Amino acid sequence: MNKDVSSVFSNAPLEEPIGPAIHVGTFAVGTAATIVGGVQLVKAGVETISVKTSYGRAWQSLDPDALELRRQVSNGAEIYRGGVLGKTNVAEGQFWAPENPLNPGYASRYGAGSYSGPPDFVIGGNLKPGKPFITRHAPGVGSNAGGALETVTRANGVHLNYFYMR
Amino acid sequence: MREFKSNQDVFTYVEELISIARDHGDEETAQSLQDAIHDNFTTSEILGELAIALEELQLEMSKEYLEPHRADISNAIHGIRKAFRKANRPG
Repeated sequence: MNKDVSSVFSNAPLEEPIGPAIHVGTFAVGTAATIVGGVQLVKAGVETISVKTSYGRAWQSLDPDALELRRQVSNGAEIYRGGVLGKTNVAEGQFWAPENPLNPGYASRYGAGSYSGPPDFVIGGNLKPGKPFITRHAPGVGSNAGGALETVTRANGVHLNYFYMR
Repeated sequence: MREFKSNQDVFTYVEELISIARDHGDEETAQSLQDAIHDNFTTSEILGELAIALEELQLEMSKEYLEPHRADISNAIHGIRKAFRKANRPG
């Protein structure tokens, strides 16, 4: 390769460096393609185990419960979210619970609703095929081990099965 | 300085801040904090929206009544950020 590069940049007549130039060009394109391919592979890997959210990137947990939820969601288990009409994201919401927010005890398990009472609406659905998602325990402040399990996906990553208004 | 040992501690403190803001006629601040805590039904969204609202408060220098609360607000933000980092640990 060094000899080819020397030939390309030499003062030799034009017809002499053509062969080495093709060789150098092919090598450069091949190297660039390898680098781009490698970067794309890494990016695809990151997108598989993490999801970008408004609050930073959420990463897949390796906790057995989180992995079990991941398996269930992959296999079509229904996921839910509740909200306040006109204020909370609906289908574009990224954070989903594995249980209905109207279930007894939801507020204490999810650290939600203790102030706002039950939600105005509840939606349920299944993850759209191929949509990236992660599962993890919800954040816990202080020494809390973390909250209940949650599924995090991209906006509009869930196919809605129903919309329930209170 | 106030310690935040649980999500509930943060929510309780924010309720106090809402009340303090209302006492000072600062309905805008009260409403932004209330929206964060009342309009969301997953822990991540509540804590995430609270962190955003509290960071805006931290940058707000014109509201004198907030001065005695700055250290606590900063500590609450720190606690929330740490909770998100912890949630992202592999296992």
